[in-house]
Amino acid sequence: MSVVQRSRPPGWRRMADLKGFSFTVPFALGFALFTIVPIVMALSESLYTERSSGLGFGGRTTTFSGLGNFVRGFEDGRFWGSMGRVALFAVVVIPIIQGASLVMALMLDAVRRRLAARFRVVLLIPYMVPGVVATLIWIYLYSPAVGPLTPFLALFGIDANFYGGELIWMSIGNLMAWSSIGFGMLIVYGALQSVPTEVFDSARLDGASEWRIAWSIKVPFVRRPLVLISVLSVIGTLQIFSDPLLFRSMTPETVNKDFTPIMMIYNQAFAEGNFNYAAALSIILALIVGLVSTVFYKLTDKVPA
Amino acid sequence: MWSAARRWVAGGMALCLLGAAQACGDGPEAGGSGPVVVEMWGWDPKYAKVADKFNATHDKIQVKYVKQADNPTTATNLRNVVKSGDGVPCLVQNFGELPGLLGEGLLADITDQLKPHVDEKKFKDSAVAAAEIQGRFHGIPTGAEPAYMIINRKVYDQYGISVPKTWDDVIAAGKALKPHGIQVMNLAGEDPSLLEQLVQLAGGTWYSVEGDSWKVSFTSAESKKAAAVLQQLVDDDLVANQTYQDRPALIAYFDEGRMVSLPTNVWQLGNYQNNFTKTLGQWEPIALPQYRDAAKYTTPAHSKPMIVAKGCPTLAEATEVGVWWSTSKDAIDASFDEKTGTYSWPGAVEDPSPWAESAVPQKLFGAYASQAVDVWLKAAAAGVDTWVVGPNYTAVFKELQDQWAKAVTKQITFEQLLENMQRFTVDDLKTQGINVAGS
Repeated sequence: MSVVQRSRPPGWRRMADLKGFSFTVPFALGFALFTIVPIVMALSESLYTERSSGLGFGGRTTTFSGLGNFVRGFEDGRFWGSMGRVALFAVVVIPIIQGASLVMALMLDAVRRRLAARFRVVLLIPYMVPGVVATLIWIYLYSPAVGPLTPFLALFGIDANFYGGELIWMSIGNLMAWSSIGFGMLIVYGALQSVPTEVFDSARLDGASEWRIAWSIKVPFVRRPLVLISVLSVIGTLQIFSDPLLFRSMTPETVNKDFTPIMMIYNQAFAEGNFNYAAALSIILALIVGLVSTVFYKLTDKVPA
Repeated sequence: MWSAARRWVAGGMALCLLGAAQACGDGPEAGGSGPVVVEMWGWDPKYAKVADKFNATHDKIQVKYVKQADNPTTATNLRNVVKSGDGVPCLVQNFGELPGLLGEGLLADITDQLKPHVDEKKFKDSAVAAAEIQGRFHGIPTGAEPAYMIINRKVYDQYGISVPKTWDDVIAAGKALKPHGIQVMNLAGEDPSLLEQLVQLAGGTWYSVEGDSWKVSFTSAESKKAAAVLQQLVDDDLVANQTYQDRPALIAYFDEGRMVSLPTNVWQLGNYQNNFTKTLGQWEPIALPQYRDAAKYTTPAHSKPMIVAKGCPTLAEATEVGVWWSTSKDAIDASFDEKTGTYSWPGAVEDPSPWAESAVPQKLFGAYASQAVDVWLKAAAAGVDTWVVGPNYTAVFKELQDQWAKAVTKQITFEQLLENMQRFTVDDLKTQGINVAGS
């Protein structure tokens, strides 16, 4: 058998590369405009400070302060308090959400495909609801005055204040789980579908129970998607904003203005007009989110043995 | 590939669009012969009607009213345009304390334009104070609503409690009502205005100027006097903490007859009347309680003037619009709200009586309705404004909200609140390079 080789014009490979790259141009432009440019602007803003003098009425002068805003940020107990609060929340809520996503995906995988397709859509509905709308729905459900949950629990003698200091994180965590479990489940379920069925058949022939198959075959196969959604959850949780902001309107006694890092940054920038300091805090937060995500990814993303 | 003809058509269209955009950008002021256009921002639905009235009654100046979404959006938008220097409006509905906004560099100095109107006594004295900072005017006086209270008289009578005249009476009423599951007041976690009012009633202020420095007085005797009243109300569990954000829940709670005294504004009454069902006719307007040792009846009348933005190119015309807006009969008449049947309270004028009667919610007050105008006019006449705030009050108020939320839920005491606020305010001023006395 002979192989016919067509002659290609010189530089064809470069042209092909350019054609391929051109497909990414729309994204690259958007990324540059809405991500790179704001980051550069934030970096620039963070190096300056606005100062007043005298009684503070003579206007402000903007002076170069180098890393002054960053030093202030690293020494700001409120910022690190909010960071610690959110980190603790993430340590508790993320494993619960990932565990629930995995269990639901395994259960979905265990039923017939037609039935699974129906459940899949229903379980995904909360993820389709916009975050602010979801928060408003739950704020109503939690409301001790007009919501249905408080009187319902009272029937069983439970006096639950979803807005109180003891339950506020549980209330937010429940909302977050409600919104995101469907998404996590869908990713894991998709990964499960790609596992070759021969592997299960062999395991069954060898006498493995369904539990054993799930634990020893399915879970290792979905490890990578689990890591992916965990990293996304870490990033999302450290940047949590709209949920606590809306809860604050209902319960300012519990959710203060610096409750989460982004709330503090938002308050500095848009309530107090302190853009320079807010920019520095944003960059510190971005670095921490990047660092935590990288470490988490390195520690967990190992090829199954 | 585009043909040459299509390129010409597209180019021509682009030119047309550019021309149209240019035409839009030219206001009547650009020509020099037409009226001067004063741009105004606000979120109050009534503002559009008042602007229309101005335009219908004036030739040389026209108001271009640009509706904003809400208070925080207006603040953000104004900060952005003042910083960029492009598209700055002249008049803006107030979203904060004037000294704080001046400290941010958002305000114009309109002393030359406003002073003649002040000298002509177009505004009542208590309205002018808030617009004046260090002898210069930076906003159009708007005046305050009268400070008063409504009580659920039926519940008071039911338990044989007399109408409270002092804050001690309010505490005593709270103690008498508590065994019946009734709370005497509501202290919403986001609203520290009662603390500010009580400090003013005691004759105190949190800021004052000493030479070229600020003196911060959160821990003054007057503040502690106010704190003592609030501490007793909270310690003895005499108050509720219903938020104003959850309106349905709040209305339902007020209407249950389990919360019986409410310092409020005139503009709120229409909402209460429209939404209450069970307690209509039971509410009585009464004078704001005083301290037992008060020398005379006064009400806090600190107000938030209309903003004149830095960068406004037509200060004289903007001031003329602002003065008309606050003081003219036409403007006040145009603020009529069909839904509630009331006008914006004319706090800047000496005699608000022509518009007071319409504000009386007959169904809400029932047999007590005839007392309302008298209560309001006396409260307005007794209004004093000795309240001074510093250039960092925007940040301080946010912190005060957080501290207040903790104090009303017993996480800290009100004295601790005052100490925390003293520390926060002094530190914040110093961080900004502003002089603070005694430090």
